[in-house]
Amino acid sequence: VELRELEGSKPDPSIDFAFSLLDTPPQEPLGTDWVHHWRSESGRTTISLARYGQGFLLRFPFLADFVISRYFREIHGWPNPGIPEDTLRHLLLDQVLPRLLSRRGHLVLHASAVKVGDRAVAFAGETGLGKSTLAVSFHLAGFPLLTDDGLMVSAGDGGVRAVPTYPGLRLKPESVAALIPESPPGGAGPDYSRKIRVPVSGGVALPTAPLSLGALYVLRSPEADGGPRGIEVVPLSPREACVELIRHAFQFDPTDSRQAAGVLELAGNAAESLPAFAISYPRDYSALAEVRDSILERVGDPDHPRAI
Amino acid sequence: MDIALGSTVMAAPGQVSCEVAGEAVILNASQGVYFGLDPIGARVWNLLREPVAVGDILDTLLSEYEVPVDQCQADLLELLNDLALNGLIVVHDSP
Repeated sequence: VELRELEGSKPDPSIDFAFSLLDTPPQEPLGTDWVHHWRSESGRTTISLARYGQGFLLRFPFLADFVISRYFREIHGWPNPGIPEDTLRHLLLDQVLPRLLSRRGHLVLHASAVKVGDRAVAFAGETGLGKSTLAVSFHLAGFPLLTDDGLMVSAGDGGVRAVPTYPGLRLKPESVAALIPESPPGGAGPDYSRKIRVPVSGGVALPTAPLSLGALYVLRSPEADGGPRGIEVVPLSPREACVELIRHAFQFDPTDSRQAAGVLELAGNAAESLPAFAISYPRDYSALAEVRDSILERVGDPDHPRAI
Repeated sequence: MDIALGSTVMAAPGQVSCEVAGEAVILNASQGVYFGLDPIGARVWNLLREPVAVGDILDTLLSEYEVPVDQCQADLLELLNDLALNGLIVVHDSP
């Protein structure tokens, strides 16, 4: 499998994973082997984790299985029949690897991020609230896209740092049509999540070192507060920021208290010094420029964004 | 279960917590429960690491904070009920 999304990335020698495809489907885990099921709001199982031999199996129902070796270095994939390779690569890069990085002691956020000045600005939020759309709006305004889906975050003496996973972009068709109608076809239609992989052109940032994380914006649904009333930005306390970091962090095995404690400690350390805000705005593409300006005012970027 | 001053309460197994800027965050990852506590809530959470009578928690808070008894008791019971509803503490009635 050619991971063309990673072309141009600089290998990090401290992180090594080997991926290969299985020739035959993995054995079905026993009922007692299942460790945890992640479910959507509607109750549908989206991901399942099972013990498998001395390692684990991650199942994405009707899509693919990934067998993880005992020491979390080798990954063997089995796509269900008819599943396109794009979807397999997306699951590997955006779901499996972030969980393995989490298992290795990293805090990996399910978030998009753009580069503003010499810092990163991250956007987290529940699925469907527009993390990717907001990020691509910044990208089109001249702020390089860092990542669409995953951001490693760490706190140290120099503040909170961020390492993007890779600068891919997956958008719903309506967002592509509204924001980048001239985009060349990505080759494949919408995948299981109704998203299309969009080629990212120009201004893609592939940082060679961790960037300072300037701010985290947590997208909230405007409907949750009684309907759209314009742009609302509310600063989050360190405690609230920690809860949001945890809520949007990948975890390999949520039933493992030691892993949970490790992720929580990382989130707590980051939350102490990370400017974090909750933001809600009308679900209207025409509002994005104003949303961007509102964020840029707070982030304090000296550059002048160009309008979409 | 209604929590009363005679009830004994304790942090439930399976959760982890950390202190953030003098406040506390509790996580029960397998249940997907995230809970933030203000400084007084964080103090209560510290007392819940072993079985403790609710009345003893109230006495501790009244000795450490200047707050009317009625308000302190009402706030404490509301917090403990909230924690219990989220499965973060176990409650035993007084014998």
